[in-house]
Amino acid sequence: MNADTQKFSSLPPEAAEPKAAAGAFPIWVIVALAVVAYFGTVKLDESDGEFSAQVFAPYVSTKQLEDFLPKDPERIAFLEGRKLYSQNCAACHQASGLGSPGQFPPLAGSDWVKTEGPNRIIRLVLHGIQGPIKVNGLDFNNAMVPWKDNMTDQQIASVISYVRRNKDWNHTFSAVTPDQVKKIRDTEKSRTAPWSAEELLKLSDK
Amino acid sequence: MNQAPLFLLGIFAALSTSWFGLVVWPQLQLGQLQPVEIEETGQIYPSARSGLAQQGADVYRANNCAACHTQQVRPGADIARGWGARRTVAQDYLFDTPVMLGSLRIGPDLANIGARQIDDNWHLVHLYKPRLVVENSVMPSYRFLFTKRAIGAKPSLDALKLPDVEAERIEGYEMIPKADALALVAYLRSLRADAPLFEAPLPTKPKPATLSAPSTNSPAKK
Repeated sequence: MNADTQKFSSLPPEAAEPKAAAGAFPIWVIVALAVVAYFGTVKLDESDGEFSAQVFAPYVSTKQLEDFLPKDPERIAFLEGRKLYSQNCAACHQASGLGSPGQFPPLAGSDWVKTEGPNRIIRLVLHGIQGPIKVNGLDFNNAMVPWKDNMTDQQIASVISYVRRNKDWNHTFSAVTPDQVKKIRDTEKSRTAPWSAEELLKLSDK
Repeated sequence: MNQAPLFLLGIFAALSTSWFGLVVWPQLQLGQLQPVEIEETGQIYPSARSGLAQQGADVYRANNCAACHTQQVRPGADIARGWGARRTVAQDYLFDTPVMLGSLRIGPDLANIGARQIDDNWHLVHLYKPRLVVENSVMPSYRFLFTKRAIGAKPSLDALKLPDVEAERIEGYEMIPKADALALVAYLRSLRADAPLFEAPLPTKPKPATLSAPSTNSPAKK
């Protein structure tokens, strides 16, 4: 051992490598973070629009938007009826309700629609109609398919109500309820053949 | 760096969370949007643009109209300015590729211009020389969308109906819009966002209590 090493070994030992302190985490930081997280979550909950793709500011929930939708049951039935009409009836009777001259009778202003009661028109829609028919003084001779297997009572009621109460056609006749349709459906349970105009005209229109 | 795996895992978590939140989730929510039937009218909304209007979208893009005009109506202030009947929502942009939202409003918002200004000649004159119809407009003149032509035996039916001051200035000549000008106007006329949607009802309906008050910005002159 030479003199130099002796000199160094007399120095105090070197400090250890620095390490992250493993001491206790201050409790007030945890509390502060919890408070921030709480109010942050509350704010998020108020303004996230339920994370829905249908909710845009300034609206905050789907329910709020649903409150804008029409509540009036007649209005809802009218909208449903219009949809059903455009899907099922408009191909022949046209969206305008005017039909095609010589082929398909009109519904707008038709004397078959503007009866006091819906007795005949419900039967006509349920079972269809075939053969010669006089509408507003004009002769038609064609066939309409039965809808009893393709539409529920509710749907038939909606579509007839749409035809009878369409303001664009100046129709303000009584609406049809599903119960009325059901009653006639039950009465005419055994019927499979389409109606003829003659048969229907024998029935009362109420 | 003695905790590299943890560090990398943290980076991965941060990036994947934002990617999921900003890309995947919106795509799942809005990627499958389809035209809807508007309850009030029974019409399908939105519908694809006509061919001419579609060409006009390219003219709009080529001339960088989106640099000065936005196509997004925000609730509150923009509606108070008369720029739209309701706020715009994702559904409104279904047939726009690319969506030219814009981010700077040197000129007014155009999301609903097709409903706000229905006069084709107004649009053409405005493109030709904006100050003829909008006082103090800072919009540049799109003169190159028009051809100047000497009036023949009869004035052309296609010529711009110019205000007197301009008609006198170019006396003996008439301005004929080129195909691009007509396409651009067809596109502008196709821009409308006023159909009442479920997610954006028209504000004629009772307003929710949280609807913010109109901004204090001065409304644009109509």
